[in-house]
Amino acid sequence: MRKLFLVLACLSLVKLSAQTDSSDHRKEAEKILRELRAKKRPYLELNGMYGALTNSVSFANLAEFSTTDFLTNTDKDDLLKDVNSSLRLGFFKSYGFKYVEPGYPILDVYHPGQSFGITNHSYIGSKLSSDLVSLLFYGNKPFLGQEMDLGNSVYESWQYTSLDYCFDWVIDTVFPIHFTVSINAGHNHNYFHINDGSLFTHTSGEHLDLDLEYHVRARDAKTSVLAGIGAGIGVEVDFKLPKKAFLNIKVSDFGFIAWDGGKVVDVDSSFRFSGLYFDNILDISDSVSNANSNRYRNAFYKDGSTPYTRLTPFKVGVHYKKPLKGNTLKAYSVSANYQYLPGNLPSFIGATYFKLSKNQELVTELALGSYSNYALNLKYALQIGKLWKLQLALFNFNSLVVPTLNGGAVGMLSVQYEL
Amino acid sequence: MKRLFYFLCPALLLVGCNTEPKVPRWDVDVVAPLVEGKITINDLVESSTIEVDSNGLVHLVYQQSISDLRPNEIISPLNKEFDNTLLLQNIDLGSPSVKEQFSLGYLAKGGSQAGQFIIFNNGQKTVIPSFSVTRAKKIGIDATSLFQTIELDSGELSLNITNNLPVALVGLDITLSNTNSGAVIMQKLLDTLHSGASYQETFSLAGKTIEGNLTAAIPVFATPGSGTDTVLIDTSQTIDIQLSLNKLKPKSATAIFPDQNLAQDTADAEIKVNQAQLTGIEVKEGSIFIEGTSTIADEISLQYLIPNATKASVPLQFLESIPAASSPAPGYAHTTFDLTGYSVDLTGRPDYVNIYNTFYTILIGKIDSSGQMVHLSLDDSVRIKTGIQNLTASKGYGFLGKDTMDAQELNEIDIFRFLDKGLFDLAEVELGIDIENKIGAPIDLQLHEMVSQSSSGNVSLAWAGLGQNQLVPAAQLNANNTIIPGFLNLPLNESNSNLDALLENKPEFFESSLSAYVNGSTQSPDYNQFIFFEDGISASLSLSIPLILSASNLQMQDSSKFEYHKIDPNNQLQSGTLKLHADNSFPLDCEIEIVLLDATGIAIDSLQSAETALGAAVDINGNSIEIKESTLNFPLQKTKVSSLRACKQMVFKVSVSSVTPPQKVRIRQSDCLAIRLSGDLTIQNK
Repeated sequence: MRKLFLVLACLSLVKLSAQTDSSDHRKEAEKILRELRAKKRPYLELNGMYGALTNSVSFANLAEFSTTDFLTNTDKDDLLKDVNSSLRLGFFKSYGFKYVEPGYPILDVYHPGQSFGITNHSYIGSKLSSDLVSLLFYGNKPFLGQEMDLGNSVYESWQYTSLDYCFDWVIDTVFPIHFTVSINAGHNHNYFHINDGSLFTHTSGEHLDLDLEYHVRARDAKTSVLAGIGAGIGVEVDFKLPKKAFLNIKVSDFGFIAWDGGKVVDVDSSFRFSGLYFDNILDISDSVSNANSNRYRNAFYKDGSTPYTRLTPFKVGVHYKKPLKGNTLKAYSVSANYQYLPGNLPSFIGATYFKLSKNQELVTELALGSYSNYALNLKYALQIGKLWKLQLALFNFNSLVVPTLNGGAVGMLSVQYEL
Repeated sequence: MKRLFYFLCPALLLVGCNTEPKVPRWDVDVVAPLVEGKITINDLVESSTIEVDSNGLVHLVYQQSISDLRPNEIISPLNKEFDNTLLLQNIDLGSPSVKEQFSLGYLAKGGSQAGQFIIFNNGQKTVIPSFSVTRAKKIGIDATSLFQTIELDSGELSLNITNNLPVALVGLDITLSNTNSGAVIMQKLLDTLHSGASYQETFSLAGKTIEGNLTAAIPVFATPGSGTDTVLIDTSQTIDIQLSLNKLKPKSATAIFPDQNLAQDTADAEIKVNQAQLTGIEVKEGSIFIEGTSTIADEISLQYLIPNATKASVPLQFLESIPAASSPAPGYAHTTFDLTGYSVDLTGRPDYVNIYNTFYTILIGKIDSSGQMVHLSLDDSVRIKTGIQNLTASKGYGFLGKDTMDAQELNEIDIFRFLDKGLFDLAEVELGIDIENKIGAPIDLQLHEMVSQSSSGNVSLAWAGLGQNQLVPAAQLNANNTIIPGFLNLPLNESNSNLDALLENKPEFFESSLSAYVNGSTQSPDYNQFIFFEDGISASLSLSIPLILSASNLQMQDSSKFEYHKIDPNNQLQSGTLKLHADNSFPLDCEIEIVLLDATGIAIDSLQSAETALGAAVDINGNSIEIKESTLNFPLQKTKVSSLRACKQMVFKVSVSSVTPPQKVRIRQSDCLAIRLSGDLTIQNK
């Protein structure tokens, strides 16, 4: 392939030299050589991402939460002291491997690229009311005689692997559309949504008043290799703008997974629980107690397994980038992104691009939205030799610098090897 | 390639490492209701033992059998066998006989002048001259239809000659011999046989062998004529000779045996009873059998009858055949007949009077003639064995005699089983001893003693009726043969006995000793009596305890299996307090303790509360008038939780005391202990 390009380039030089004068010829030849050098080579990439973002827990507390074995009441107080109306939390973990033949323009013709990859995704998105958080961490005892608002709370977790094939479709010679088609293998999924709910505990615990409207789509089972199957698509378009600026619009991981079975519950119910009732309390046989408890369980839960389908946590984004002519500051960009996860907000990002050296690049971002309200992100790329490239990214870098700030952190690592 | 390997190594490591975010553990404090319910008197005592009077007062009503006297047997099992052996001597070979006549005309045909004269003057009155008969007469006797040969042990030959001629006969020589062998069996020479006279003689045939073909011969004889007397000559007049074989007792025979009864044997069978004089029984079980062995090459039919044994009014009889022997194998047959359900009259044969306990059997054995010639010898026999096996009765009728049935029994009393320790004082208790007699004879019953046994000791009944005969009337039979029992009730109460002490001992067992005397006071036999195997005399207690009592730390307990992992499979419970809210309308203070037992039943810990569920306030009659609310706290320290996890069985101990001792309180059906159990618990997330 490499030899083919060289032959084409030489043929073009010969042709151009035959048609123009020598200075023009030189410019054209240099241009062609530049473009020939811009040709991109295929590479292998290994990437991973891990971290959590939240609106009201500091990185220090998140770190402690994820490393300690037991939370004391003091730990809980510290952890949740900034939870006001709700706690939004996103957990992200992914790792993948792919082979990429990048597309690139050459001699005003876009050479389409393609890639094959496999990625394992784990996501948790949640938005929990402060009362629900308190209930989970402290129980109902601190709230005797009070009504706890459990509504407007949602939690969803995903584990799946996507097998992706990416290809370019060139509409005209320079505006390719990047398509991705994916097959998704679901491993686990849980979705709980309390749309409206309240819990009242009598001061002496004589009864509980529970009022819940909630929805469940949960496998309620251990992770398995193939608990569901689905498909997804992605579309990405780059629009060239004047002065070498461009606008990128993309939708990725838009798809679904049909889970083979789980709890599918849509309940709007309220009742007072005064304990399991027995006519003869001295004769609490298994069958009686089971029937009794099932009466309450059936009011809020549903036995049996029902297949269901959920949209995968797709992403949409708009990205505008404008190159600059500075020696170090090479470009700036603004973008808006959103990932379809409970509790997640759209994020708006402004970024600057620095070329630190011949083989080092740095991007700094200021992001507003998402789970952490605001964040400073850093992205660093290092070209090692001709074949290796290392990319690091830290989202909400400010939380690492000042661990007491709320927000959490997510790290990303990518290693590329050019073939 | 080497670089590619370096690249893929971390990739594979990353893909293989699927770490989940670690979630720490923490405790939450949960206050929640757990269980609610109520305890009524029905939950403490079996509902079948509760009666409620018009005032709502609860009575414990309890019936308990203390003795059940049943006749072990109405008759002793009857086993009896009868042997009948039929020998050849018993076989009837019949009495073959032959009768022959010689007419005067036959005698005159000899060709003599006298003969021609007689024939010529037939019908005339004239003088008959003397003449000799030389025309020998041979008579063939054919008995081959009965036998071919018989070697006789004994027997008789009868000769009978009658002279119907008008002249006397002289020198009449008669010989009987076997036709084939020529052996002479009998020879007789008659000197003179006058006109109109008869001669009869019997000859012994002992030791002789006779054939089926015999020849009787009269070779010559003469007549002296009528002398000077004129006589009417009638050539049809005859000399009659009759030979017959009688009383043949063969040593051996080859014969066609006629249909005949070999044996008809009637035997009595007496059943064994003590002093009873039974007129009938109904067979509970038993059988009769008949077994026959025959060396006779002819079929033997057997018929067995018990005429007084009937079922659906049909007398018992059955038939069996012994097949013909096929030498050297004898004919053999064995049959058993089930007597169950048969009614047997025990008054003996029809001509018997004043006979009881006896029935009779009839065996008839006979040869059904096959028409074939059969050889028999003295060694031949037919042996028939009949018998009755294990004959027992389910019902007996007639005078039952005098009999004594003793019983000493220990019966578990479970009405107080829910009570453990403590004292209580009862009032107005009543106890009836009910005697039911299902025997058709009067019974004198004596209660010797009754002892209330419990872990705290024994208390014996003190009652004036102990050791005294109590007459229990005889049972009657109605038209459907159903028993109408005779009853006797012996009432005991606090005034005529120490009944309250007997019951306040919280008996776990009643030991009783009694005797029943059948026909104890009957003077003369009554043959209308009856006894059925399954029905005897039963004695039971009928106890009524109104729940009017004062109690002091009276302990009740009940146990229940417990599996902790079912309610807390992840061991999330750390500590806490169980709160028991009680609304008590029982006039009883209740202290509750839950004892935790391990898998071996050993107590490992207990849950206790310092509080008491207070009993309801009562009025002056002891009736509850105001519900009392109480809260009992059962702390669950970590050690208690550990014990709960090891617990496999819970024993609930409730200690109750009447609210105003020694005043007795009344337990009414409406009283209950309403319970709400809630938990103030520290639970760890999983």
